[in-house]
Amino acid sequence: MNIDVLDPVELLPRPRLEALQDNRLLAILAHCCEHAPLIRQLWAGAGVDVADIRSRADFFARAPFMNKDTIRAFRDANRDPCGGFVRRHQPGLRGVFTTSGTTGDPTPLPRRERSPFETGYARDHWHIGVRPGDHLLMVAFTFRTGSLHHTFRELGIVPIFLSHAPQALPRMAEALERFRPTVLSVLSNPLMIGLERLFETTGADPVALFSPLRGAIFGGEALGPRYKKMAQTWGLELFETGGLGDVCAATECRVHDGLHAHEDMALVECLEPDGDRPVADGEVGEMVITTLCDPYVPLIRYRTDDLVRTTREPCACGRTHARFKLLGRKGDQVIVGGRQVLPLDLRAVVEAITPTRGGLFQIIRSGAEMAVLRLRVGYDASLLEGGEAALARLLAEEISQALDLPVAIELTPDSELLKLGPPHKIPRVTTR
Amino acid sequence: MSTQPSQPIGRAEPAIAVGSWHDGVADHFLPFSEVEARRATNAWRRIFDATGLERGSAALVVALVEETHQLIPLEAALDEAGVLILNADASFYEAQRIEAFIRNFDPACIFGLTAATLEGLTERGHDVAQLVAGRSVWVRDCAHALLKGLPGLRLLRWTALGPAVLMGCGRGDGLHIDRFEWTVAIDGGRARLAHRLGAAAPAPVTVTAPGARLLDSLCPCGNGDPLIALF
Repeated sequence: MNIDVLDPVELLPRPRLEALQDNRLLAILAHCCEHAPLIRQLWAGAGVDVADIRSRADFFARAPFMNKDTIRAFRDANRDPCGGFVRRHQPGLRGVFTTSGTTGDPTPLPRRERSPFETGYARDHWHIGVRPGDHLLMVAFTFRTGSLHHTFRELGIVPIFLSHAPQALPRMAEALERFRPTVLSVLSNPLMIGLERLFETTGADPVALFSPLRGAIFGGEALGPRYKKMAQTWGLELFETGGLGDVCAATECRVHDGLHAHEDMALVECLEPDGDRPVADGEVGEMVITTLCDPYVPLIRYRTDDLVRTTREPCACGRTHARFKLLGRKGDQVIVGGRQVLPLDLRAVVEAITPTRGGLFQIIRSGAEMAVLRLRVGYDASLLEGGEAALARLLAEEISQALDLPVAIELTPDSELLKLGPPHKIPRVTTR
Repeated sequence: MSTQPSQPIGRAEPAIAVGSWHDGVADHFLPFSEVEARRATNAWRRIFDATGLERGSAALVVALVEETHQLIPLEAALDEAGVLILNADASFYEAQRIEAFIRNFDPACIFGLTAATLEGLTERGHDVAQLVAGRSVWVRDCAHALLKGLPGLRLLRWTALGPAVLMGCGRGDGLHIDRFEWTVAIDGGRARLAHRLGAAAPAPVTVTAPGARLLDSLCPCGNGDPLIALF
């Protein structure tokens, strides 16, 4: 396996990596406890003095946790637009990104000259195969990270900018033919739905179209089995990506066995979802992140709400940093008949039925616990045979059988569900 | 009427990115180079010299990913001026983010509000007039009509004429076009644009531009970049 990496730190042996982490951890704690009002307040409230943290063992034993609500509460109580991360007029503060912010005000992510997201993604794209002089088809979800991206310019990689919208697919095809980019970044479920339709209606050959690509990054939410298989028939290798909290992104490698964390940029813990003890590698836990690289976004023992399985076993690709699999959001878990259900549990069943092959659905949560799993499922009317009632019955039977739970189905056109979200995903759990 | 015609001075430059431009009928890809981005940054700086830009203030920049190549020079000029840059997507769904940015950071400038973002703000129950009052707001064509006449608002325009970006200073009767980058000839509703200096895509282009006129007058703002009046 080719282990040509952009940054040699990706190959550090575990002991050396952890020594690097320890150095960075102590430095960033010292900075944040002095300069980040939120961290100062949090640690003082927990009775922890940063001077007492001299090792990772001290850190794990004593450092307080934080989450999105911690940041929001500080922002609202102090009317601090930067959420207590940095002072508004901190030297070196160049901009503010935000998280997607599906509930409440989006969380601010203050930015220095360069964001860790850039650094991490450059490594991931390099692994997939983009090199100096190559074109990269940049179909980012939104303009929320602005235009001042330095890393690709420094590497001599030429991004082609297109909006993340099904209407842009014909231009995407034109860009693939004209510029022959090496990587496409990023595909999503809505775009896969659009691509499938495009090939069906135009007769274009996906294998020929995607032939210049060494791979495409897929994100927004989990890749379902149907689209994974479809991409393979297109000759397109998909690399799933997700967040390492809000420190940076993490992407699969060619082994496709988990997303590679950039452990020189973040300390990764996997803890009991409702507690603070670590879970063993391979067990389900909540990802807890501590930044090691960005003092302007001091996420220190930040509980991400992401349920994951992690492993620190070396990867066959050669990179040594931990890998994790994203299972879903803690907040998206519903309890039905005493059982925990995540949206990911339903995906394969919904996709396997032709009119609902897009895999668009929402869980309708009516309370803390439900007796029946209520779903709103998107369908493509042009693929419907036998009427809506028959489709709803089939879905209910299949899902009920797969999960051994009673199910109630409400149908809606795919287009109505796609309207609910940003370009790259839909809210998977709703109360309405 | 035209600015001085000339052969381009300089070589074909390597592209650093590829954006898009519209000729009035269809979209075309636009490779552009480091030197073009630098010159366009200078063009925005000349605009800000006229409009004023306070170091330490904030600017909200709203755009679509496909417009990134037009935003690189704008954001570079803002960044170099020491302005804090806030970013949002130019879509209906971004209303909450846009309103939160305005409420929390009180930006002195807003770039790129579109009809879709204004609709999103209104749908969410926000008072657009109140949100934009007291700020300098650069908008594209459709949003300009929606915001015109709102009290307390310094409304300016910016738009694209093919691959060229036209920028309003609020003083002249038209929008400025970068005189270092472009020669432009406008006749009978068609504009012919040619690079003066090296570029990644140096070939001249023709753009449908009904109602466009190259003005003879100098802008009272003092910027020597020519003015183009649109419909």
